[in-house]
Amino acid sequence: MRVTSTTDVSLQELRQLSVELGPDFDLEIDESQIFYKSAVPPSWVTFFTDAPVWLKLFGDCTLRKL
Amino acid sequence: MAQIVWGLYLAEIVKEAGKDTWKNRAKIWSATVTAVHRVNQFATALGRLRSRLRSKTRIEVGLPVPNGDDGTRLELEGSDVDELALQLALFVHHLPTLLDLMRKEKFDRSSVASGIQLKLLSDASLQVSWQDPYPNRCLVARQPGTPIHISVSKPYPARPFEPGAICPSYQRASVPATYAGRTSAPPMLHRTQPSDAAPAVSLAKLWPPRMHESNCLKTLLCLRAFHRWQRLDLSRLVPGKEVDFCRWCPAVRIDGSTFPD
Repeated sequence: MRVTSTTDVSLQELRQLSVELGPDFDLEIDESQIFYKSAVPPSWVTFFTDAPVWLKLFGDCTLRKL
Repeated sequence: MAQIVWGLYLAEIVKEAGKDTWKNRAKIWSATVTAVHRVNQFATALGRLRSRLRSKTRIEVGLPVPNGDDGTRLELEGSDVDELALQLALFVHHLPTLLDLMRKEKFDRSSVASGIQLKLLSDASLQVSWQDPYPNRCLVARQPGTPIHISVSKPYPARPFEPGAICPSYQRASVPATYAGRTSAPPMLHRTQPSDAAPAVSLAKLWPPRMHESNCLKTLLCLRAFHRWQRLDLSRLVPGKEVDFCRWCPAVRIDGSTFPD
């Protein structure tokens, strides 16, 4: 699972999250963070992965395939 | 709230169990327990992360469709673990239908102007919205009887390119409110920034004979950025811009910015 974020989000926090979640989630933290030049820049953390991985992680796919 | 998450999975169990053997029902039960455990584990970690982030930071889950930068995103609202778990469960619950929609619409860079936004509505259905890059294809569609509502919003109004304009890049010089780039690849920022440099080169050629008015002293002044500006009315060529020419050097000033700097 790829984790992208804006520059205001601490990479340290994301690494800590990765440790908390463990190897099942296999977080891949994208260290090239997005920056915005704006008076009120947006701030976000996004967890991207393909649909089959979501379904495998959270079960729905397993239910369908069994 | 956890009961609702369970309910979503149990609904699947009931549906699937009716089609299968007793042997496989045990596997289904085991898989469901694992799935609910993982949803809760992920929601708990996100809840902790939320408390460590600034309040305005959005937490989103999504798919890298149409690509990894402009993906399909669902913002997870709230900080309560059960609330986050429910949103995750609903996201996964809607994924098969969402995938069907993506296959049907053939989402790629030519059909989606930017990312695809997902929103969970109050009735637990999922709203999918995106911008169609082609103005003539603007639609607002809704699929009745399905849990996903589709809305295709109109694209941002594009400025038509006028034949008399200097070059197409000038037409893109309408400055967006926000620039974005990546920390590890600063050149991307320069690519996304509209610039007046290209039209300035073209404009400088409009009045080439002015160089004869210069001399050593005036050139020195120009080198110290003391130009002698002369404004020409070029509103037909570059609408909305104030263009000044230096009478002593090839410098051009567009809206207060001097080229070459």
